[in-house]
Amino acid sequence: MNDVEHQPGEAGPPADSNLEGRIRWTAGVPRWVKVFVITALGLVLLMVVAMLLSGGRHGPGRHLSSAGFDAALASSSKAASFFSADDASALSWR
Amino acid sequence: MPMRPALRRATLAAHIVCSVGWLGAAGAYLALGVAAEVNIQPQIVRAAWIGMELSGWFVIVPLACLALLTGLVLSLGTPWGLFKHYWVVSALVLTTLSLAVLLLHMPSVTILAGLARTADDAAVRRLGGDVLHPALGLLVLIVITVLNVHKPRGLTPYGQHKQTKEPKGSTKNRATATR
Repeated sequence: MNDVEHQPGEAGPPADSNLEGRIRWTAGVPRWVKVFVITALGLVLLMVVAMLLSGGRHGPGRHLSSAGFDAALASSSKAASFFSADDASALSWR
Repeated sequence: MPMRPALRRATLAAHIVCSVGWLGAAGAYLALGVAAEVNIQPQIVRAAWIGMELSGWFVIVPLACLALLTGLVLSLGTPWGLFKHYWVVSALVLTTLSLAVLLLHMPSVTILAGLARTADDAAVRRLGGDVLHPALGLLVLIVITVLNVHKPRGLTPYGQHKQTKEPKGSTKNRATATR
């Protein structure tokens, strides 16, 4: 684990480390960063492909079409939320 | 600018509370999302969507904003810095992306919660739940937590540049950077 993990309180290479140690600490992009970036890009790509395969539908429309709602109902439903003017007073705790 | 130890500890405590609270609240949200997905009883689907809207806006969003804010303060107020270490940059990017997705997603939750309140039972049954967003969010939050605890080594080019300019005596400050 010492190749990867910082020692507690260590924000840089140890002060008493030799030149080799300092170079190892600072040289290039660490392997974990490369693995991290590749994994993240792979996941993003996977999500984009999944979204495209599902017809590009994302957001509330995905639920609304399956439930048989139309867009007008969706916009009117916003008024029924807790964030409408009528309900704002109901949410004031004082 | 280095923070005084008492202030740093207080900020660290606030950061841990907000970050772990966000993680827990996301878990509770996921439970509601799954409940709405798998249940066919309209009362449960209605209650789950209303719960998701309330917990989202009044617990998850504030905690996420505070976690990002305290993380920024902590990074800038300690020798770790904001752009010196790859693990800090990674945590910052993931937290910012998670917050952005959360803020973009919550208006949809509001719309669907509104529908769940007003629609008839048959329509509410077909509304479904919200599983993918909280599940992915939870995964990202766990990765951020592991990064914060593990602090994998690696200086960014900016961090290397700053370190070469750093005076020798400043290594004493490192001992206080116990984030």
